[in-house]
Amino acid sequence: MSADLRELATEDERLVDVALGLMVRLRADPWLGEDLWERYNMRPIKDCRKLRFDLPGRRGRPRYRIVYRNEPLDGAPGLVRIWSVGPREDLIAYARAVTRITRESARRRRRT
Amino acid sequence: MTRGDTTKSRTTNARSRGVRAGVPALTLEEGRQRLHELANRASRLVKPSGSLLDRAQSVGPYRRGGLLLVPEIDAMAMVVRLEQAEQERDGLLDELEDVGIVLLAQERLAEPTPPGRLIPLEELAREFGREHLLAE
Repeated sequence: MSADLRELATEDERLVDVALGLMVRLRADPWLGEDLWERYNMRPIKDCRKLRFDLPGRRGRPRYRIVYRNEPLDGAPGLVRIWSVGPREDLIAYARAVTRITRESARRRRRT
Repeated sequence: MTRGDTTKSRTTNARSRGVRAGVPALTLEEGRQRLHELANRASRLVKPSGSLLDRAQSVGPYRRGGLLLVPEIDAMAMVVRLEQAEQERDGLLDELEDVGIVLLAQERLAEPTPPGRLIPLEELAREFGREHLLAE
């Protein structure tokens, strides 16, 4: 998490303020973020949520995300576990990279 | 414009630099003389073309381009198509972002983190000199 925030600080120190401010708000309201489970009925993202954020006053779509999970998974969350803070582009790049690798290995498997 | 003119223009155009192949080209003088006719013809169009360049007319010195005259209906249709494509792209990127989260979750959240390995928010805020945010 420290590494994510340091990375964010290299882009703009104010992003760290926004991200930490949101984390503080999550202590009071763990359901603040968007529920991914509702869109994708998949076990790995049960209780995972995302928050969109950006510099205050910046126009356009927020470019950064905080991804977190309320734990324990059942019942009232006792812990908000933040496991990723960073640019949305990184998530997109990650998805692209993994799907490319999966596609390649499926192709190789078909050949053999 | 006659059919022969169009063919001639297209050939000239293909040889020219800076003008897209297939777009008829006019000299500045030709463009000046025919502007009224071109505008009238374009204003009578009722159906947009498939591509912005389908009915475009290039105008420039020695038919080398510089200006592109496009029927208004085609330009407006292109703007709508661009907006639609942008919306579609945004939607797809949203989907891809969520797929990225799912994949990361599979990798990172297989097991709950032992409490000892978590960084408390207070510690994180201290590390970045933002303790004041905790008081808000």
